[in-house]
Amino acid sequence: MSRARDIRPAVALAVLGAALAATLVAGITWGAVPVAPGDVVAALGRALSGRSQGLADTLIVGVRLPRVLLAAVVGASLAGAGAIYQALFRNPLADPYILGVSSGAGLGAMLALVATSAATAARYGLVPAAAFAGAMLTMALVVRLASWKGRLDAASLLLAGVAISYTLAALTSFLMVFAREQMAAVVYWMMGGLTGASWAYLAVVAPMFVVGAAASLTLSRELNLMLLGDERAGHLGLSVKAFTYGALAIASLLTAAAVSVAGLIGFVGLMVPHMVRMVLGPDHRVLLPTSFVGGAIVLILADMVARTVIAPVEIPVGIVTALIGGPFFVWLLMRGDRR
Amino acid sequence: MNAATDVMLAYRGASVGYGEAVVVADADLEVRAGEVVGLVGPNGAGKSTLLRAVTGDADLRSGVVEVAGRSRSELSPRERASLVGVVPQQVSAAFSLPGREFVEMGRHPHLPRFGGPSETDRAAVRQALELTGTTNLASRPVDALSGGDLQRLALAQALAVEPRVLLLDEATAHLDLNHRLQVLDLVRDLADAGMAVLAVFHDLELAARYSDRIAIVAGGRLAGAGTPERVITAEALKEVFGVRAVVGPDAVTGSISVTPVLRDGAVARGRHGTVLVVGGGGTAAPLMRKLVLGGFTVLGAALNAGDADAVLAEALGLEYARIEPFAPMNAEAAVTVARFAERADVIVVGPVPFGRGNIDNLLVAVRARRPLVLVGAVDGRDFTGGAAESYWAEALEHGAVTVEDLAGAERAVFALAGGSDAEQ
Amino acid sequence: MIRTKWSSVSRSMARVAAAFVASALAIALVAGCTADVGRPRSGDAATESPNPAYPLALTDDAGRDVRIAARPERIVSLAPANTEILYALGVGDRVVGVTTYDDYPPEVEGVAKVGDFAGPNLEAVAAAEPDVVFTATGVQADVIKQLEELGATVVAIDPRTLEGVYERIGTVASVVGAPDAGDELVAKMREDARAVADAVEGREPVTAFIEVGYNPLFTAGVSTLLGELITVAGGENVVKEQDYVSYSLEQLVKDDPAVYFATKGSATDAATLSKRPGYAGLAAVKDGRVVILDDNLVSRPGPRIVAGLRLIAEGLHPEAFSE
Repeated sequence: MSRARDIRPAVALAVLGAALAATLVAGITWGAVPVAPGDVVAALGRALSGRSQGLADTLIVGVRLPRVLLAAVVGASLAGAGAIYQALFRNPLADPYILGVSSGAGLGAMLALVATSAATAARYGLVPAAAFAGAMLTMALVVRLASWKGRLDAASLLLAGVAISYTLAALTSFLMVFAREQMAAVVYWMMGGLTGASWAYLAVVAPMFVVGAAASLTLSRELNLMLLGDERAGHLGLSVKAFTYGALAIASLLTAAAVSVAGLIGFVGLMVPHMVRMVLGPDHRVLLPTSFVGGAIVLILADMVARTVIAPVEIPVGIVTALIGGPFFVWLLMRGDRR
Repeated sequence: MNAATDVMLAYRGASVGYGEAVVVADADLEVRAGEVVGLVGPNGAGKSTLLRAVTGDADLRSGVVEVAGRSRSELSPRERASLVGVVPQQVSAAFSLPGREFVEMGRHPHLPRFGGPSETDRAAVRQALELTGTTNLASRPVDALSGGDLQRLALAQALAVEPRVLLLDEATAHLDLNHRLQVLDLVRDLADAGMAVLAVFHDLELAARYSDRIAIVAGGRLAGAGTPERVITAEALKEVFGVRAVVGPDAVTGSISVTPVLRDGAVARGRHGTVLVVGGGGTAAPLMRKLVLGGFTVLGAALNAGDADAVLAEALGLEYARIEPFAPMNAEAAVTVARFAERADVIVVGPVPFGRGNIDNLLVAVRARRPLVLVGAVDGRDFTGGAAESYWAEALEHGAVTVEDLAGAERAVFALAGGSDAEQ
Repeated sequence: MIRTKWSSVSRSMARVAAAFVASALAIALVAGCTADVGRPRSGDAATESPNPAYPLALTDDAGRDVRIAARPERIVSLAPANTEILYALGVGDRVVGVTTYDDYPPEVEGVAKVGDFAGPNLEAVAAAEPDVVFTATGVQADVIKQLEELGATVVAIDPRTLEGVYERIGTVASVVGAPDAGDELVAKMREDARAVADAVEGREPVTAFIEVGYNPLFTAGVSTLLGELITVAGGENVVKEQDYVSYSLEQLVKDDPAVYFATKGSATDAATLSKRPGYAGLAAVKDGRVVILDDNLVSRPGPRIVAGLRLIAEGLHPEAFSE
């Protein structure tokens, strides 16, 4: 009986891994412009041998591949960060933006847009960097405020996060009054999307993701302990405060990396860990890796829909994640209740 | 065995509390391998705080807490956790992990930073499940378990640590009787096998039954630990808990039995009458308790030590004329009763049989010429060959009130001496 | 408690964002800057009498019937295009209030500012005591209503086609009592436009794409003024969608337009386009046929729209204008 239980996560990971591979292939094969699978393979082959040329090559290697890979990295980062925050806060509604990263990144993006009054190339490089900085600084500020009295509990973090969020969001709106011309740019940025995907973005974000994901996977046992509550986790030898700082830093890195290139994409970080938990249980040794893979799959699929459903017109991917994910989540919930 | 004398947990001049606030000051206590030390005391006195000072959940303001001879502050959380197992009053498990993995969390302080549990770890988990009789819960999700089953798994989790010190914080409070005894028997066995156990008890009888030594925590202090018989006394209970109780050896277990009689706080204020009660053999005990609760000063007539009424009188802290067990009333006792009768506003003669040993109680009661309440009829209670019946008749001649039972006697006393709020 | 609060924050942020997008795009389009996204709207059915005699009745671009009692002496303009029309008609001296977006002609700098395009200050407008207020539509719909309540005479001018621009210039000219100046201005504009059309006459239409926003990529579809300009200028818009849309980069790569236009608010440097993902392979980028357009020329439905038309035509058929 216990053996069956041990096998289940392995099977799930294998299934998810296969699903991810299939999704990647599908994401590269389907797009606004139809490309025959044979041409896709040929284009990839030419890319590997460094002799890319022609329309299919540009489409596949220059446009679609970086976008699909970025979707995978962003989706995985958000879902993984969501799983970590949900464990730390023991709050099923915790999402990757819970510590005010949305408003911090938004303010950073706004400042970058204002600073680069013209739409030069510098702007498109500066905005993600500023958003990343804004997100990390905000989270540092929130954590610092929450631990002012030496304690660091979920309630203080949430309160500090909400307070800082409101303040920074107000600052952003205030700046918009003075720079209305940047409003559309800021708002689009906040709505999130993968239209800016490029190999350059991928080169920046992928290393952060790899570091964050690898680090988080070493925390799964401790995250399990956190399920018992701060005090009980302490009884069993966990330095709760130090661990919380570390885990927050990792989740924040993952979130900020995703936000900096894709803006605020909702739903994935909140729901994917839930879905995985409902199917595979709360053990983070299973939950974390499957959340990473699940988040990648969900965002690749959602982005596929976003860019193909009324092609050549694109719709924001956040709309897709919520529109498809919401009902699916409800279905999972009802199914769980029946059982 | 050497281990039996090892001090595994020690408080030395320890003041513990939260932040600046000290809850228990200057505590000194040693817990040795192989013994169970019980902590008892009123709610909020700081029993749990003393335990929490070991795990770092409460602050140590001054003094030291030592675990296995090392100051608590020198130990890393992992080192401390590998030495000390904790079972809290209640554990929360709002997640769907199987029992085995829940228990395996206890192995955390022993596991390497990277890598999973080894065969040793699995064996420890298996043993903890077996010891606590929870092997059948190993594959059930913990969020579907009853509070009692979860609590036993929490004990298993603490035992999976393979600790040398076990802290129990009212760990059995939420268990049914069977599981409570099962858990405490196990704890006793573990102590006998060399573990040092410091346990907070809610239930004094359980504390006495399972502890080698008991210490009372009250008023911000930790009193010195001693054997249950020495520590749990009627006086201590009155002082610490404000409860008057009958404390005696339990007839069955040989441990201490505590029968709370009344709470000081429940005694009515503002009534000052004095009542002398003639009882014996437990015939007047309920009345004495009711009258004390009603605010009267109650005096007992002559009673043999160990008599049920005498035990109650002592628990209630009442004055009575004490005579040796099985001895008849002597002149000294009769004089004492006579003095009591003079102080009394009302005298009550309970439904006690009269023999040669106690007939003087009735004589003094009747001759005192105070308002007198006689409970029941004398028929069938006179084992003196007529003396009791004649005193009874004399009393009736002088206007004594007769009532049917103790409840009637209580009403009569309130009517005669209780003032306006007699019917309360 | 806290959870609820938090989720309501996220939700309200989403709502605010949605509202911002709508208003920001409308502003950008009508004000003729950075990112333009249009609203569905049919052509203009202007009906006004060339007769300068007052009172004058007309139907404006908000579909309102307006009556002008007498020649307005004090004019407030709440849209840059309207301001340009007024100055081009030579009645700039009667303009007593404009928005902060209004930057042409240079003389407009000295005129009192009554707020910005999206949020004119009603008190400032009222304080200018205008006889007539020229507005845009869309984002200014509420402003029109508020001004009406204040008793102001409001004329909404917001044409979506080249012909509509000519007609509306006539409308404005009639309202301010300068119909001859209006006829003259429109005749000149038609002449300039015809010169452009003549220059490209007979030439094979050149495929083109016009970027009005990047990241996400926004473009002007066939039913927009920009789209019309491309067609008139001898081009073929590769985008076949209606209105302003978020466009697939893949589709752009496939369409591979010969000329790539970008408005200045979206891209200021043609050279950097090749660094964008997927752009290096575009024919327009490889051939150096990326043209940065001044938003103020191509997006404002005013007198300078023909200059914008010429810019686009020059981008499409440089050889036709080389002599």
